[in-house]
Amino acid sequence: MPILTKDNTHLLTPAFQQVITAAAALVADCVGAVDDERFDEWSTFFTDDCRYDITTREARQKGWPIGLMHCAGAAMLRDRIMSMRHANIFEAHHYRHMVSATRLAPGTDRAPEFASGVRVHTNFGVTRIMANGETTFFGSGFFDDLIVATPGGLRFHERTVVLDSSQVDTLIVVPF
Amino acid sequence: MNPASDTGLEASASSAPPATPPETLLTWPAEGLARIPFQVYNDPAIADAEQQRLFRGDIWNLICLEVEIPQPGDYRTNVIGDTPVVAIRGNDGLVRVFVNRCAHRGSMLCLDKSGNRKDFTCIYHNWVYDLEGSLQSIAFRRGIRGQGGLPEDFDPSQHGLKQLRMDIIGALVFASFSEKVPPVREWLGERMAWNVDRVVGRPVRIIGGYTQVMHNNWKLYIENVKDAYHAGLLHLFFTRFGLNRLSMDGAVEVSERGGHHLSWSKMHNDHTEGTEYSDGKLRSMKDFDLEDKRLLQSWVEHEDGITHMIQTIFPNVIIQQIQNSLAVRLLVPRGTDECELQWWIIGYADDTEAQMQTRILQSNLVGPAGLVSLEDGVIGSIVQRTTLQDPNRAGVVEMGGRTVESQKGRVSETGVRGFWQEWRQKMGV
Repeated sequence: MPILTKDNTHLLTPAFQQVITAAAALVADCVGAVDDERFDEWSTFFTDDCRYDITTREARQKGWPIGLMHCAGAAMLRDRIMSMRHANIFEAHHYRHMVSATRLAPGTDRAPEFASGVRVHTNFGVTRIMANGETTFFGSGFFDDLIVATPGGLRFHERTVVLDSSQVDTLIVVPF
Repeated sequence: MNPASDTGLEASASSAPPATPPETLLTWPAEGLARIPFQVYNDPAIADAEQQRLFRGDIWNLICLEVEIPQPGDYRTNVIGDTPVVAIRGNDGLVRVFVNRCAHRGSMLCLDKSGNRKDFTCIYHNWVYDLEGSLQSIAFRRGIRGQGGLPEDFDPSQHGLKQLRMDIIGALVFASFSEKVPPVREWLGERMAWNVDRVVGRPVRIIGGYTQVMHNNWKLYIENVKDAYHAGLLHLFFTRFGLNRLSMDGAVEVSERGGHHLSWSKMHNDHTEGTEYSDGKLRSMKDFDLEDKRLLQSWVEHEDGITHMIQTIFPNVIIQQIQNSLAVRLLVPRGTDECELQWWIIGYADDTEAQMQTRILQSNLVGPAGLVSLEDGVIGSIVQRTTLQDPNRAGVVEMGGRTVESQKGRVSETGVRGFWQEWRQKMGV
């Protein structure tokens, strides 16, 4: 029996490493904008005709088309921020994301190129910090991202935030 | 306090002696239904009494949607108050609801939210029940080589699962511990059953679902749902985009006993002139707009022109039609200061693709992340915290008068008073 049966030599290629490093940086920069409450920047990480969903593991398994949030296009992302700032009532809080290394989504091309889109997964945990300091573990899950190259740089063309739990504490108004 | 032999239906729990005599549980303010004593949100003795007198009393409890258990052996677990239950479809095609508990030592039988099984086999000691709840086999009933085992006179027929009464209306499966409560349709009354048929009276499709945990007594959330007055004030998104304003044609309707309610409006019949909406004094008129208005696109789902319909079924079920966003919600208490809201987001089996896309976009309005309704997840907690140490103070509910009756217009708390009228009757306080 051979000692090594799994061929992962692609991990060693400079092209692969460049792609993964760039994808991970985009993911990290985007959660950084949310955690730092630079919400005006948030939509700029996405293409104009992006799709952004927050859903749950259960909803994905059951094939439900509706999760917790669905934005079709960057304008809807900006509308979410507008509503958060001017319409919705909630107690002040912010998030802190802890993200894992970014990896290629299972079954995707091992020689990825942003020109044709790169699908990556990144795990996250999010704590929610209330104004009085109360800190709770708000949720865990993973980002299922399709990243594309645009003239302005890398952007999320599809982002599905897949929460592990179908149970949400109180409300979601700050995006993940 | 309800010594149950698990031998099928027993006497209604509501006839069992309560732990705390009603007269000492709570003294309601002299003002009657125009006041709600804060004690009702915080007292553990009241929460305990609700388990017996309310959830195991003469009411129907929502368990699941029938479409979740289409095939023989399909089951769906849930709770009635604190009691785990399971709805399962038998080989005869009939839905039965059992307490989800082995008659031997009380181990839970079905651990998953849903699934399919040929029988109920207890994981603890391998006692096996058929889908009708009868005890079929007992591991080592005769012992081993003459040692151990059950006494000769042990009668398995006396040790089946505890079955509850079950009734179905539209897509909804209900169960009850009570032998006295009339069938669901009769218990709802004609007008309340009309809306159940209107929203879930044809084949539905589940298109989403989640649970929202809130840090308040369950009754604060139910009051919020029945409070038509707040909807056009707290929820800026509703008012800004003309989805639901108090100035629209509408009504609050309450059932005969008070506990069920309907609150509805027609967005295409709005008359803001001469109201506080038009003179710009309300917080709700602050100016903001959407870049992408596709979220607001809707079609008139019913010929009656009602674009917003919220119904509660006493004590803890909500049926929602907000434009084309349809949902069933079940509110479950978790002690005095926490509750969970289970959501079933639904469409119809015969929805077109375009209709489904509209429902998907409008799903942004509701739920824990709902542009309209996310406030409801926290408002109860904001009230709960101020009531904790003032059990003898009370909330004031005099909008629309001090009594309980259906009213035109929704600047009214009649639905809230109606809830407490039936709650007090069931709780004996």
